[in-house]
Amino acid sequence: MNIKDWITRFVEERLPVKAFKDLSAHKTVPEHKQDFWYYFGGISLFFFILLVFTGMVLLFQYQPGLESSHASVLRIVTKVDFGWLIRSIHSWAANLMLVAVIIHMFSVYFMKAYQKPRELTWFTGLGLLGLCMGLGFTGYCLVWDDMAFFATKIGIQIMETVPGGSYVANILRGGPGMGGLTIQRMFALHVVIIPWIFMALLGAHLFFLQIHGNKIPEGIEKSGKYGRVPFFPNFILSDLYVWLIALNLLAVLAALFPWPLGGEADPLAPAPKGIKPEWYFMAMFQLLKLMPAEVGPINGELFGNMLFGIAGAIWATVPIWNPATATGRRGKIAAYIGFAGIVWLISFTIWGYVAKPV
Amino acid sequence: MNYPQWVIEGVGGPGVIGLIAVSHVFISQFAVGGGVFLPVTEYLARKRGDAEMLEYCHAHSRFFVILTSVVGAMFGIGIWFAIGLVNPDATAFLIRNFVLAWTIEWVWFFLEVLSLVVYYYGWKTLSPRTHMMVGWAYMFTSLMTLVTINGILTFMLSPGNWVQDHSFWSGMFNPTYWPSLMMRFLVCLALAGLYGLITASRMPKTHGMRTHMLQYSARWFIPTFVLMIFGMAWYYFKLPEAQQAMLYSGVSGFARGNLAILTRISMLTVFFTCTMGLMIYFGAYANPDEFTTGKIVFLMLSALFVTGAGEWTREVLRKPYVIGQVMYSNGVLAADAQTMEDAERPIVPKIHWRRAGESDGEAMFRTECRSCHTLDGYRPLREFLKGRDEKSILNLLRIMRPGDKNPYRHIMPPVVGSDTELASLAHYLGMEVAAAPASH
Repeated sequence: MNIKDWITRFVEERLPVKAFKDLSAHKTVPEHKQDFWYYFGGISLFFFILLVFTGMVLLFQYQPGLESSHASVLRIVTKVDFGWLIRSIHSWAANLMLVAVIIHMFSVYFMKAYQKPRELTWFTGLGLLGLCMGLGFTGYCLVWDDMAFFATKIGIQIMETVPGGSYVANILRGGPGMGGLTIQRMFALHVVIIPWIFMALLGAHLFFLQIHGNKIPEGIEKSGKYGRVPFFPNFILSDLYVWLIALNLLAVLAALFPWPLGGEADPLAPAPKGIKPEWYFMAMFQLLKLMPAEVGPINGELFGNMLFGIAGAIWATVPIWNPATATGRRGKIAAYIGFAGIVWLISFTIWGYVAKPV
Repeated sequence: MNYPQWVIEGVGGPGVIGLIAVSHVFISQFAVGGGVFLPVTEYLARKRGDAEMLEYCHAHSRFFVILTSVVGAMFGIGIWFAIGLVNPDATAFLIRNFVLAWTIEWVWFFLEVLSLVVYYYGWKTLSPRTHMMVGWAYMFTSLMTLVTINGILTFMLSPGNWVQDHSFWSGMFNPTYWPSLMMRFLVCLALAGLYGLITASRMPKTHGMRTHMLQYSARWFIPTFVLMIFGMAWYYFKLPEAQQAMLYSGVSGFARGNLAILTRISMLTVFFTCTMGLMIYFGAYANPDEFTTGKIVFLMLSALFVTGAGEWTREVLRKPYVIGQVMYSNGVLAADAQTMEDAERPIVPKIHWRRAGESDGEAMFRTECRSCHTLDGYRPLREFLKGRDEKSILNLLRIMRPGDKNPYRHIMPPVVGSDTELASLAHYLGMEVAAAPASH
């Protein structure tokens, strides 16, 4: 018996290899003119894998603490071999993952892939988007430079306008002011708490996807103009191909536009002019800026946050108010809402960047 | 200094040359690689008596002839147009010193185009044997164009013994000639395979030949994937020491700190070569059924990036020269610059072409700075000199005079001119820096 046969036999006698083989042999993915949207889920996963890997490497050098956070990041980008590259890949991958996740969410929305039986896939996906933004928010603070400090401070202050928000804000800050405990708590959230919840939710999301498969858009399904390709190896190989495209894009961005590092945060200094949040919070930030001090009897910021709450609830509950059994009218309303969501997200994000600093 | 120059604000002269040159190289190296691909593939098809494979060759040669002889030739003329106007002194220098090489190159080029036209139009009219012979003739002549032009291109980076003996052959077969030829040939083969993938991917999926030709074209990338790293290493060790040092430069060393853009881009060239190899394997070779035209767009974009990055690296490695050790990138001869260490030696009388009403300072700016800088676009001087007044600019210009004390001597040409002339240039730059960009 040669070594290959021996290994095959060893594995087959201990693991349900045949069951996996049967499963992969029968699993197929739809193939049609809009199937490229399917890749964005995989791209998001790829960036997440990279983030875990580069995050672990950064952990070898990063030291959370009021005195050490900024200094250790500075050491990473100036003294550690290829430290600048690892940090740049980590930061760019985080941003690209959010781009991929947002595109994935909209593609799922417009394909109505949230309808029965895929409601749980939709809900877990939304949860993952929220956790991605949480990872971004907590990670941004860890470098403890000027912009990160004040952007985090303002972000947490906005949270305080919501009923019960002060309680959460105090937990995040570790008290009424930003300091060493804030870094410690953001660090704990960023590297342990959120990633663990993320992994569990991701497992559930992929499990539901495995059960129900990819949704074929209604028009294409009715026309019958689609085929099916084996998940293994065809779709996996296509996924790897797309991951390499994503990797090339990431390499160019990380190498040619290294992620910047500002001066160490000084909590006693006045906030620098033009503080802006990360791009994925920019549309919300810009909308809040437009709010007057009072809207009737309600505080302006609170009113803005209430709007986000209502809009978010409508968005999240789309499988409930536009089920597969609903009439075409509801489907149209859902499409209009989706279109409005894209227009708002893009226009307010651009507006936020070009608006003069206050 | 002897000719009028094309002043381009925005992307700048080097930007225009770069855009045209990268497009030209991307197509002309396909012309060479495809010159090997077509007759070899036709030979295999005829040997096997495979009519479908021959039909593929015919379809591919139609695409090939249009792309290389029409689009590629247009870009070729574009390069002459751009370099002649942006950097006329260097162009004149290369023409004067390599008359024989240019003549040989254009003879090969003429024969190349002639044999290609006969090859394409002879598919239905020539006998198989004659058609094959024309194909081999095309392969030979296209390879010879690369063999010839490679000498002039590498001379610009590493003139070697030519600096002492001024021998034509020393200039042609300079230190980086052979490694560069190896690398370019490998790139040509890879591009031949990539363009072969385009034709194959457009065949109907029901066509049995589609899978075969995709996998066949993919194999043409193997020599590049395996040997490119050795070619790069060979090239690196043949580079002059100063250029080797440039590849390691950065704020604080090879891997630490912010590496120079040159180092980062050359790292990306190696990285992209590897990822493209994997893309071709996962896409065209292992999964040909799903290898669509949409996917190949990203592969071609990656190839274009590698071509651009490689050519850009070669260009930047030459800094501060346009012709190593001989002529600075602004057209000033290195020999002249050495004698100009004397602060009394004037440069303005050497500027033979002047605009009407042009001040000495503006004429110096145009001839000494414009070949690499713009005011507000590519390498913008207004931004670089921001916050400096005329006196401060004059002090900076004095530091940048020829000699070992000039800290910028490894990355840009020295500033030449007498004290009075430098003051005139500083006055002009001071006014430009103070003026708002909108006023131009």
